[in-house]
Amino acid sequence: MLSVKELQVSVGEIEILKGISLELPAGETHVIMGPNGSGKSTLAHALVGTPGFSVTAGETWLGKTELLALEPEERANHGLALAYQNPPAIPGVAVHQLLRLARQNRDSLLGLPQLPLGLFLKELRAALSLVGLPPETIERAVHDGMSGGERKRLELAQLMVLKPECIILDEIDSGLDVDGLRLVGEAVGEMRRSNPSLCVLVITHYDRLLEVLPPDRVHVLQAGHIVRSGDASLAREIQKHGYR
Amino acid sequence: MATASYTPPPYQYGFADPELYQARTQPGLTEEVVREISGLKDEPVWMLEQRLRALKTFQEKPVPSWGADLSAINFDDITYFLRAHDSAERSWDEVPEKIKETFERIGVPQAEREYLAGSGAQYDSESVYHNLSEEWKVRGVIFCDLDTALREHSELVQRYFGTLVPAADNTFAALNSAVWSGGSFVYVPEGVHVTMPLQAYFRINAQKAGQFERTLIIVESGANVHYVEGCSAPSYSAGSLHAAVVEVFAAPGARVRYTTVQNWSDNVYNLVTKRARAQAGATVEWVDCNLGSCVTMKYPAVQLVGEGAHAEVLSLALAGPGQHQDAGSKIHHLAPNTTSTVTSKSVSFGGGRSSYRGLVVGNRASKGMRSRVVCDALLIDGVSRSDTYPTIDIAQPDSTVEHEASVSAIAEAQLSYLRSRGLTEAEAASLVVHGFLEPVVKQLPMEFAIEMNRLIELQMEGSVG
Amino acid sequence: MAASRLALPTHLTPLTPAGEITVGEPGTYRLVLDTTAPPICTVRLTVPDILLQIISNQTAGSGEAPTLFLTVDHQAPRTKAEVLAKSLVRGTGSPTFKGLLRIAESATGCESYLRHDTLLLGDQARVHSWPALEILNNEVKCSHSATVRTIRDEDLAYIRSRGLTRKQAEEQIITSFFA
Repeated sequence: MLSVKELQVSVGEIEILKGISLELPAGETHVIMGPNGSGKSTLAHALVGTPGFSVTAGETWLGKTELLALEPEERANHGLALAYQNPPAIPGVAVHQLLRLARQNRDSLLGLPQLPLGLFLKELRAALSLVGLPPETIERAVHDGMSGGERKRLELAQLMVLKPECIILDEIDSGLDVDGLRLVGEAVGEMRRSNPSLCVLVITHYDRLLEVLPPDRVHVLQAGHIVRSGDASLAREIQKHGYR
Repeated sequence: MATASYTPPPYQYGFADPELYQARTQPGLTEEVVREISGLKDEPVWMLEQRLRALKTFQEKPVPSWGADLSAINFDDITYFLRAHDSAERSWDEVPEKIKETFERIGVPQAEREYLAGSGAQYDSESVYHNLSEEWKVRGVIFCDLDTALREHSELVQRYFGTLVPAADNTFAALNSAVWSGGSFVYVPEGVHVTMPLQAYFRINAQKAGQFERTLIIVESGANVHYVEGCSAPSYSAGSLHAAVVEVFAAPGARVRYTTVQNWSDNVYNLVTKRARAQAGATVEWVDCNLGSCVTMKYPAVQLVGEGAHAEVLSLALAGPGQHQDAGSKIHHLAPNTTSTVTSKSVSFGGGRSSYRGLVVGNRASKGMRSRVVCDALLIDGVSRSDTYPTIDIAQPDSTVEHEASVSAIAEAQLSYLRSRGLTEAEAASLVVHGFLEPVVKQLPMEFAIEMNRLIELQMEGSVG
Repeated sequence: MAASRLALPTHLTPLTPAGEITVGEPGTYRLVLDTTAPPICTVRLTVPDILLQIISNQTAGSGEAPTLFLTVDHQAPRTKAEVLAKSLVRGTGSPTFKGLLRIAESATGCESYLRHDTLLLGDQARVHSWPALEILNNEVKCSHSATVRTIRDEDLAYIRSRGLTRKQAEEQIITSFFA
């Protein structure tokens, strides 16, 4: 369960989130929709602890773990993972290098034994294959020289390998075509199969992603507040009539 | 007309620019010492005479002040010839913990640790070069120390020695030419492709005679060789002044790669003149990694004297607390359609200073020349320093010359992204630095690359977070 | 023509060329240096929130060897500077351009860029270019580039195909070089 209580977040002097609350139970998919500037990405970054996003009030919990007390890497080790909208390139650092280290840290926290390299690479290749990236991608530098679509897919593959408890997809649909969207659905489906209690928080503008990721709940974020919440039909309504 | 508040001295052609020097006192080096060195090695007369002429030149030359700060070198205090002997410099107990930890972390074999730390026995020259197999000897490849080459291949040595870096070239070349001892000799006959790297396994006699090493590499037409020296592990040197000279001759169509990784102890002034001459169609590659010493001044140079010759310089510098890595490259395009590529990667942390000093020259003869230099510098914190001093001197209109440099800190966006994947700040910084240096590290032979990566990780751990 | 790295407003206060220039007020400025400028020009940015563009255009004809040693010294935080320098060399001209960007240890959050492009025309033209950096603070964005080239036949071909003579085509390219 991902739980957000009266969260207020500022970037510099400007207050972006003015008191957000939501409960995302285990196994569910919730969607945050909203016009540009409503604070959707801010919510994502405040949850993972990106520097520059200061939480001025409120609480965030992942299960029994209070997130605000933790460093960004500790939150990730506890199973929170964000698929970035604009991930930075890390030249010279191969995909397998980053992910092996990240996975080792996660497994450490979970008290699991370290996965032998061969098995890890097998998992990684399988994840890449599922998102439609060739196996050679394991050697490529992270996001370096990759197209927008490739980067979105790589973000997803990374999330799969990290065996998360809660994933946040920040506008994963922008830059993906119909096939790409389908793969998002399959990737999330695969993650759910291995972890039925996975929480999925989807941040998006459009409802076409929701055809492959049917939401249990839709929240509309506007000017820093959640102004409406409803079921999947709310998304269709927004798509037809816009935000009011 | 007002004057500028400071005038950084422009980089000239090597260590030799009379206007930019400070006065210095007479050295402790005497003719007797030089004669003794030569006598002990049983050298031909021509070498003794060359040494004595070089001594005179050295005594007349001042110490350069345009580069790193060399004012603390006390020439009177230096022992110019240290006989190799069996006992250690210091006991294992005296070796600093940090050094021992480094050996452990980067995985230096137990047998090498004492040697590198200066607490183990000398290895003599023969065992260092024993790895040249029959396969190569039979094809006429020679790989031995220069002392031996002087005895067994005197004529060959005489033909080349000092012709690319004469004693008069600069102060430290003069010093080296007077007191050199140890260093490698490589000869590869026409058409022979030596497929395994020739490696001086340890820095031979590193603590002693290694301070004035002289290396001579001769590669005949169409031949091919890769020479490797040094290691990433911290290497203790009792001698604090290293003035080495390396001369590389690449005949038409030859291909030579010279890889150096140095991690000298922090008492060392590492002042090296490395120069190569590439004839038509030849390729010379310098791969130069500077991890240690308190001061390094080293600018691998290539003279492209034949049509279509090519120079490649890959330079990596890590400048930590108390260190000044002053490195770079010098490329002289002296023939048509010659090309050069220089890649310099430096990381400064903990108050370290890294300077790139480069030179690209094109003259009337270098029609169609192309040169590209890229220097990237990473400043880990706000107390370290990075300089770039490239000189581009082109007197050839039919040329394409590009130079780019950038300096920055580790990008915050990269750090926060990596942390959001579960890496600590130190792990994240270390990974970014690793990726930054990767274009050079990937050109190293594998054992070097592995050792280097571990060393970088270790250095970064201390400096971030 | 390379785009500016800095977001420049429409109005930039002009600075008068001199050997020593101290910019002591926040604001946006432009300095233009041509061959009448003093051979040594040091610009010090001594207060925060300065934005400065420096344009240097050198032309060297036969027998001419103009020299410019420009230093931009960022002494205060959040100062931004960009140097766009060009040298055009004909005949036996032999200009020298030295451009040093310096960022002091206390000058956090600065941006400093320099480019020097040289066009060599004529067999005997030459150039001495020294773009340099001395950076003592790590929270910076700093880079420089230098290029040297000539006008090739391929560069002229398109323009000539529109009916211009070789000389006219060259003049077009030179004009666009300085644009």
